[in-house]
Amino acid sequence: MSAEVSADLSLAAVRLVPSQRWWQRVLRSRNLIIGATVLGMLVLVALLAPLISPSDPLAQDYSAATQPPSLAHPFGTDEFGRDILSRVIYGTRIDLQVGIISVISPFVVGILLGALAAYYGGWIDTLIMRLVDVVQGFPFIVLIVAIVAALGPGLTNMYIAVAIIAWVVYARLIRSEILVEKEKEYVTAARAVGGNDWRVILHHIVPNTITTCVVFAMADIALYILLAASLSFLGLGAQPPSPEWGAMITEGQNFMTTAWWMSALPGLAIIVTGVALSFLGDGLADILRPEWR
Amino acid sequence: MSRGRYILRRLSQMVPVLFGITLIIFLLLRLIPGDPAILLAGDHASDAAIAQVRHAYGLDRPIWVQYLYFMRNLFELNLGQSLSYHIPVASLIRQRLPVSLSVVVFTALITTVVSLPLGLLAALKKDSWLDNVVRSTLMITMVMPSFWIGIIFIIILSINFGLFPVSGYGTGFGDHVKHLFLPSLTISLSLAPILIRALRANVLETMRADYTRTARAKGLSEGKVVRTHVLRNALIPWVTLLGLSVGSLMGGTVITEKVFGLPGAGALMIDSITARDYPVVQASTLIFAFMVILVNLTTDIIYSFIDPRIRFG
Repeated sequence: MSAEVSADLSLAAVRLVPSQRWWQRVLRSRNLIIGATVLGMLVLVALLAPLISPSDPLAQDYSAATQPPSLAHPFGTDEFGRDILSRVIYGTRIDLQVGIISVISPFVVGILLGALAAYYGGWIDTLIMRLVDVVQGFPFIVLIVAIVAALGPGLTNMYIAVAIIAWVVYARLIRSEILVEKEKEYVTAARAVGGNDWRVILHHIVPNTITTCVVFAMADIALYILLAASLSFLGLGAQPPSPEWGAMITEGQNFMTTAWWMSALPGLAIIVTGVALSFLGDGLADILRPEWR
Repeated sequence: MSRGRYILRRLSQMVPVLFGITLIIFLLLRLIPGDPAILLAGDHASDAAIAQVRHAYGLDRPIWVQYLYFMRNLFELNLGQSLSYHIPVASLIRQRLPVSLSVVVFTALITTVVSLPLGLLAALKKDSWLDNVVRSTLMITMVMPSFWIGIIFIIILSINFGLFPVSGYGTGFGDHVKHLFLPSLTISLSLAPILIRALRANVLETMRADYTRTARAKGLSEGKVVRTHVLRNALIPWVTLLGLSVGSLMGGTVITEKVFGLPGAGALMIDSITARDYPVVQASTLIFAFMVILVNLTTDIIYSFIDPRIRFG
């Protein structure tokens, strides 16, 4: 019922604003501009890390160990005298990569399996959705931790764990969208002109239903950065001396009484990235799904 | 369909899910490189001990028979022997579980107390400064790593101001509450945003509903409209969401227990990973999944009682 209503609304929204081109909507979405700008800057920081970071992220200098933020070291130094700002800058490379690499496989696999389930129904649907139920029976982080513990610590094994289980969310999302969409006339029309199932799914149904997943993926990238950080905290993610932000927070935990900056500042980097992704997600929702506003 | 049959059908849907969960747990151990018998008996076990484990778990038989052995042990509540604590895993988990459950209950309580008024106010005063402050704060708390919040809480509230204990569980009820407050608040901060957003959206939706317009049209005061019409209807799906969030809440305990040094089942799982105590890892993963399934089932059943409109279709 509510899904049908929202589908009608989307048609209404499209009809009401025919003169707005996509770039006009982009320029009018404050969320998108803020999110894209901050994220763009983070990407630049990641790409230019060797040029802009004040020193080597791994270079130790015991004469300058555990110093609070100063002009020489704006973010302070850690117990080995490493410059925390440089480590945070290099961490941008790792954490952005982690977020983006992690999301690709769940996104693609989830959409394909969800589309199959919704389009064919029957036993295919039952099988795929039961699998989704099973995976969602575990707390997400517990299952990830269990799989990474079995495979061994490290980011590569986190990617594998995420690929095994995180597709279920996308499968569920796209399935419920497609169940509504596949009854529409253009789908019948596409089939009537002789499109085979794959063509109808990939060229007609998925492009019309994928926007929810795209918006969700932005939040998901932030989630994977948090996950990588948490795994580092549990000793299962990036290993020292890697300047992964979560690993830095974890190292700083041992010095929290004397050197708050060691944990606090890398945490801020995670927050800035996460908030930028939230803005980007909301902004994409503004232009892709105007009926949500 | 009657409610009784609805519940029965819901229960029967659990069977394949439980089957799948046990299968995943069973296969997890086989993901680990090495002989499962040695993994289960411990790195330093004698040949006799390894042989005994091999026999008890049927590890010398085909893999599907091993799964049957695994299920038989499960039904007998025989979760194996902990390698580092040298006691049965079942009794180890029984000791640790109450701590985690207290965290879960306390967190649910804090989250509800915080989310209800904030979500309602944000919706009633839509686009006001309050709504904007709530929404932008949530955007930030949602992406804060929970262990980072925990560390910051400890630095500021426990170390600098001495308001809370730095770590541990304490003894006696009052002491437990004091020790559990910060961990629960930490998990709440990542859980509340979802619930506040959902409540705000629900309230806004019910405010636009026909029955709300009718209630206003027949001359009810705004307060009464909100209390008896809007809030009631907005809360029903919200309670379900709260129930379903318990899953991610339990995941949160794994990390928070480590930050605050709580002797719960989550911390037990992580410590056992470090200690390569695989029987405990296996069993605690299983317990977490069982609890999620149980809470989801209960939520569905409660939902069928509180929403008179539900059709058991």
